[in-house]
Amino acid sequence: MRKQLASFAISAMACALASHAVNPQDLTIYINPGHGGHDSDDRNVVIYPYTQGDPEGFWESNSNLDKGLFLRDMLQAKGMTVHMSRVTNTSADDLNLTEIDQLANKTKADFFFSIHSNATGTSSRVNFPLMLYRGYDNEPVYPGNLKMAEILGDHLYENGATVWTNNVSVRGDWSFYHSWGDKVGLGVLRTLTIEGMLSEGSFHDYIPETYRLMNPEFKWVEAWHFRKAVDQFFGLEGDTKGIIVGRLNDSRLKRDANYVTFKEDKFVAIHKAKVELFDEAGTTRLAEYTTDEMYNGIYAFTNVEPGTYTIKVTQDEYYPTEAKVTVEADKATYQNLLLDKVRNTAPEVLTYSPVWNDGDEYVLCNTPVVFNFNWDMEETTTEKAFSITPEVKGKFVWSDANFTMSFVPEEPYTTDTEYTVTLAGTAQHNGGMEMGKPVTFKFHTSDRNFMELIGHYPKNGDMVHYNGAAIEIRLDKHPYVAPILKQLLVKDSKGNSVSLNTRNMKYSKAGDAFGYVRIPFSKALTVGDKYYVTISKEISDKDGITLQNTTEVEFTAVDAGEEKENHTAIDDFENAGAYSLIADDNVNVKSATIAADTKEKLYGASSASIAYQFEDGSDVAGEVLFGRQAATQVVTNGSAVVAHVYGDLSGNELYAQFTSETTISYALVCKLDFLGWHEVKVDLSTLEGGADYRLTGIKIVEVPTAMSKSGTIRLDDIALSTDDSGVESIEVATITVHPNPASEYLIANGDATIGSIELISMSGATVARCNGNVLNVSGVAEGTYLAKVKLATSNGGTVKKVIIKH
Amino acid sequence: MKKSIIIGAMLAVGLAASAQVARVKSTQPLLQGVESEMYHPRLSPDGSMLLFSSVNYKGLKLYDFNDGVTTRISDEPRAGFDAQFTTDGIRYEVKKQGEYGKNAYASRSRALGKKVKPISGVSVRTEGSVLYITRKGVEKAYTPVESYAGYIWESLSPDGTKVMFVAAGKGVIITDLEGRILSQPGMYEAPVWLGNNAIAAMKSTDDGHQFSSSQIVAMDLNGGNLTELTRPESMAMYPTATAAGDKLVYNTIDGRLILMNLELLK
Repeated sequence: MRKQLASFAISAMACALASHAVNPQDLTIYINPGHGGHDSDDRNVVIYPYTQGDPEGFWESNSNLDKGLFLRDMLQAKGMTVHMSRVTNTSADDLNLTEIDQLANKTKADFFFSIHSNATGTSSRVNFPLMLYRGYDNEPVYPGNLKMAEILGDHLYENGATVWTNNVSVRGDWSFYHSWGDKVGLGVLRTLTIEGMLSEGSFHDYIPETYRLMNPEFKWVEAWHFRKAVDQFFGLEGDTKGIIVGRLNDSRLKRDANYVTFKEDKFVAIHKAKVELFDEAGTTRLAEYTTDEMYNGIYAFTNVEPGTYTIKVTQDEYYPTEAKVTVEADKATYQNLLLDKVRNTAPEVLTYSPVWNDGDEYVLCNTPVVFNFNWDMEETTTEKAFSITPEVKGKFVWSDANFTMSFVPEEPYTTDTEYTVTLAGTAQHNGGMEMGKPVTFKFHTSDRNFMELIGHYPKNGDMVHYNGAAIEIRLDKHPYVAPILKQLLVKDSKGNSVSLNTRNMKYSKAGDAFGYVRIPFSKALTVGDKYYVTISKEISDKDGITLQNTTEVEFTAVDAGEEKENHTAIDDFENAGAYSLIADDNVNVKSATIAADTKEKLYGASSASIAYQFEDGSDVAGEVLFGRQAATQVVTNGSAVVAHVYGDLSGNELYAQFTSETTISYALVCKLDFLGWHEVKVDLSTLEGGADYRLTGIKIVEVPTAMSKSGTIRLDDIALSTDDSGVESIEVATITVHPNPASEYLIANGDATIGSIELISMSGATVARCNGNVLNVSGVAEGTYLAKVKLATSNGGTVKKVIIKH
Repeated sequence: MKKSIIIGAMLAVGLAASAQVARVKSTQPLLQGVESEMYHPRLSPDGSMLLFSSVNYKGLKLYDFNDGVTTRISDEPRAGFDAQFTTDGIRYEVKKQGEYGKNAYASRSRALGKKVKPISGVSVRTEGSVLYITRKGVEKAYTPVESYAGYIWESLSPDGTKVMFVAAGKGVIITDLEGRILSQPGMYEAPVWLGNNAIAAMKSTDDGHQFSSSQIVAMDLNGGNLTELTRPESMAMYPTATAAGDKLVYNTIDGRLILMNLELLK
């Protein structure tokens, strides 16, 4: 009922607006061209031929300003008073939002427009007008806000020279940005005392629209629709003349572009086309427009008397085209045209690949078949003309504006096989002529078609020490590492990406026995959380030979070095010098050392680091033993002993030597099939029952593989244990949460908009919560809390430990 | 109340060093639990009364410090935008709903039955990028600094000898009564006088959509001896002060009013 009443009130106001027309000389309009200054809060979209930051390229501030200036001139021509927040584009023009509102309020303007264009902020692309006004949906703060938003939205959506993907959207900013908090909304509308709205006229990250927004006449047309909206809103007389606007595209030739396109935007926009406006009979030329070279094909004739006209389009590479159009007063006539390219010779295959002859090196099993043509080819007939024997499943990829067709096999070809490729003469170019003569060739494949993943860490179900953790994959060939960060992905339990420290990435080099990539995590993992690693099958060697399957891994972060009261150290490895190499017991050892490591440790001042290398070329597995004097602590085969081991992913085995009064036994500590710190239970089943043993050494036994010849492990406390439970929370911070300690407000900021903050006590109770990025904590008791911050536009966020102190 | 004072004192930056222009003696929330969504405060020169409005200046209320009573002055749009204490009352302007053009605004006044502001022979106003100073009934126009967008937040010093305003994009400007620039303290918003030799202002940052910080700072007329009266995370906005500069009130981003008792330092 509340909304119905509100709608009724708005309708009533609309009637009032329509029936109380005012003199344009009495009206004042305030125009705020959004952003400014090509600085950090401006929006630069990189489009060819411009590079990032090029002042001549697309900047939202430029586009907004052009529209604003056009609108100012149109409104002033009607006699209105117009104020603008800026007429140039420098950082000094990029006024604070509070200043803009204050300036607008002072002018007592009858309406306030903030002119913008939009962006999705994601990889998806759309294009439609979004009109935002102050208030909730259908419950504007001032009735005129909604009325103008509806009128302007309708007018902008009339623009037929663009390509819309969705209907116009008219929303209250409090509803649209509800995650920012109740009644927060857009800063530029926040303190306005006058009616106003913000127009996101179209999406500037939809690249065909970006190119259109580089065309002055296209922006003029948007301003013209603003002017029409002002006229309608205030009940003013419209223009006595009309406009003709359109877009020229090739009828078939597709854009050679790697950006998203919809509808006619899929086709090439025609450059340097001469568009001439003739009288109805087509005999008297009245005006001329030449399309620009900005990939938009836009043309426009403004200030046209009502009547019927003929438009003639010529361009050297296209057949001439013409159309009859009718112009009405105060209306836009949209006339888009698709032009046929002149294609007057038969298509030919200029080159193809792979080119292979008997005696040549065999072709890699992932090599695509590529044809280059003299014309842009028609896809259906050309794909149908293609065949390969033995049959291979694959997909066609068109590029270079359909001058190039590639056949990419779905899976690598069969090894050591001869294939025959034929392109029949029925393939046609986009002008409809057939190739006539077929093209046939053969190639022979090599003996390897997949890369092999010979090891990786973590493995499924692993418990990974939260601090200093890393991912490592090992392969039969050296990997191509450039795209590896798109092929090795880690997500947390909420689906958020977990960043890796690329600066400390290590990978195999020439001479290494196997290929590997090792990347540490950027930050400590959260103890107790699950993580998910994807090792993509896209990982390849330098020839592009990929893995056969994608490997998915789930692991849990733990604190392997948690202090536990019920542990009694047998050896804390604070004195690595207590160990010495027992040469007589070594087998095939090339080198082996033990030393203190003060950097990579779990407890105390240091761990013991053991670096070893076994001899190559022997069939006998290597063994290396470091001995020490018998430890004080006694163990039996019934004891529970844990060891803290930093693994090297060698796959070798680590043993502890225990000695009783009569025997020497080796207890398996762990298989070294992991990286980083693990707490492992030592298997004491090999010890004789009833006998007392003491620790007397550490032994590594080779399990021969490509990875077993060398490695470095670390050891920290080996201890008697009665309990191995306990998980401690470790916080990570990817978003700034400040101040800390906080007293009055806790504020979160980040690259993306903050949606909410929740303050949680250490016992798990939510003690305060807000939408938006500012949480009032003045009433929260002093203490330590967890601040759970969520982003507004995604499921992302972070948890940060904070202190409240008054 | 005791807790609130302690909280305020923690939030404010108490300073005693000679390089500061003011010291925060105490702070306390106003009308806590009584009113909500209080914005754009304006103190009477003697500090006995306080006008405040809503976030978009709709409506106007008057709080009397003497009896603790809040009076609703207006519910109309824009009533809080340029509300002023006159010698014996309040003057404000409202926007008539649904009206456009030059007749869309109406002046309003409310007598208070007592003197709340001394009679002054000088007044200032701005329009566009022109500063108008009226002395002895004669108004003169000045353009001390170029600013396309215009001048805002103009005010006269308590002793009536200096004028302060913000030139959009250029920052705070202080002139004499002939429009000659005396100083340019810096880029701040909504500046107010703290006595005749110091000013307070709002200093905010945003990420394009939301505020990142907002604080109240004080400084001398040259922008020197910058004193943080609140921290950046206080989200403090739109200060107002007494003529003597001994009391300052601001609103927080979520619509609370905070009273700050100050000691101006020589």
